[in-house]
Amino acid sequence: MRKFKNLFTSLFMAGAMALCCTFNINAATNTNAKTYYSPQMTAGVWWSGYDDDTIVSVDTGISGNVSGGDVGVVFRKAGVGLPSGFYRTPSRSVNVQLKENDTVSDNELVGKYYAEFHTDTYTGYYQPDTYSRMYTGDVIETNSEVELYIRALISIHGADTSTAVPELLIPYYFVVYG
Amino acid sequence: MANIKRLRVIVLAMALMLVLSSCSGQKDSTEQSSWSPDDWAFAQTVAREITDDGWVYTFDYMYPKEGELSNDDIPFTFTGVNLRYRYNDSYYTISTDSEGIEHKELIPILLLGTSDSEFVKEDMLYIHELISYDGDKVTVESLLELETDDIELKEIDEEMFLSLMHEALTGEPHEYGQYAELPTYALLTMPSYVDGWKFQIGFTNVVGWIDVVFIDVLYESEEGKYGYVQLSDLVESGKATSEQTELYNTIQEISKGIVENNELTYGLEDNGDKVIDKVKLSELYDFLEDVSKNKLSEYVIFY
Repeated sequence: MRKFKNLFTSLFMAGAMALCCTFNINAATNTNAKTYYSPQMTAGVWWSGYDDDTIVSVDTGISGNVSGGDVGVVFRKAGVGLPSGFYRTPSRSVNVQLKENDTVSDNELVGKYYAEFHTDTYTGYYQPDTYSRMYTGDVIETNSEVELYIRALISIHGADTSTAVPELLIPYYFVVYG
Repeated sequence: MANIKRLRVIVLAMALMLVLSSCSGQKDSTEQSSWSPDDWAFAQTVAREITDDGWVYTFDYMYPKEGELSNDDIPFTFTGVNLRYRYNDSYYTISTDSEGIEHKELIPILLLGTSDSEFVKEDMLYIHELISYDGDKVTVESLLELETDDIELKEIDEEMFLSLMHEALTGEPHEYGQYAELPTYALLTMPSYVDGWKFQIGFTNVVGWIDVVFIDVLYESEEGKYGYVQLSDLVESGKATSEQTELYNTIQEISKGIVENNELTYGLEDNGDKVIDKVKLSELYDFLEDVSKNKLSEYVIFY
């Protein structure tokens, strides 16, 4: 029964995600939020802020239900360069999931972000390009306070020498839209 | 029969030696990984221009050791990073809050192209398009044919750019080092002052080799725009005491040794116990030790 429930939840979430739009992030509001940094990660393996206890409470100021479109994550320029052990290729990508910690039921998937690695137009450094965002229109919280965290996966390439991603590569902060 | 027995003993002894040598060669899990050239599927040639004010301009050419370049490669990059100064009012990002008010925020590391100079931005965009690899159009050969009359940069020195590009595209690949897991660039600072001073370390890394290092001491001071004055500035302006000059020279020697020997804790035995101008070099080596182990988060200046 539980398996069936999980399957149903997954299918429902996938359907909800599919209904939502995908767009490039070019603006965000209330950007005074604190910046967080990804820790040491292993390329090819998901890192989760949940495991690291990097779960951030954000007061959305929204009365009533909060949906996936109301909150998001913005990525800043990296403060360090990807190590030399990573071959520079446009076929490398980073996948990020934004999730809401829920003590009552399963942690909801709020949105998905995806970026390919390129050389930055203005700095010349090899790093994730513009992130695209896809979010769920489903309710993720019934009060104004949401507890957000991200999961991230950097892909590997056959020519890589190392899979060790240094700390600080993905600076990010949470935002409330609208 | 005796010969066969002797042979068996010799073979057994050799096998035992092999086992023992492989055991002694096992690395401590906390040791920095070391890489052999065979581990690298690609080669990298860099040409750098390092200025006294901390800017490191780099043309970087990365390519597979075997086979030709393909559209699955990003072989050419041109970058600039400052490893001496963390802040400059001309380098910032702008964010907009929920009230629509724009906020100017200093960035924690100066990268060429994040300047507020439109000319620099235009130059970096121009270079980005010039060297964006496209198998048939932008090749090593086509880039090497470029001369100053063929390019148009407004603020970045054209001759420097072309010179770096030529050097990188025709040079020998850089020797591989042991720090493949460290970032290609970073500017790190001790989290707090010790008796009014702390160390700052900036470095670049190519194929695991720390090839440029700027080490400085930040003295807490209200005279400094950002709450500190830098030892390198005191020396340059002639305001340094004799002890501070000695400290500066010692740090310069350590920096040189790190690059030449590809060893972040170079000179530890000779300098680790030194205290010059109340500055403990043991703190520098603790810092360098952490960097060598990729423990960086403690030393990051947050936005």
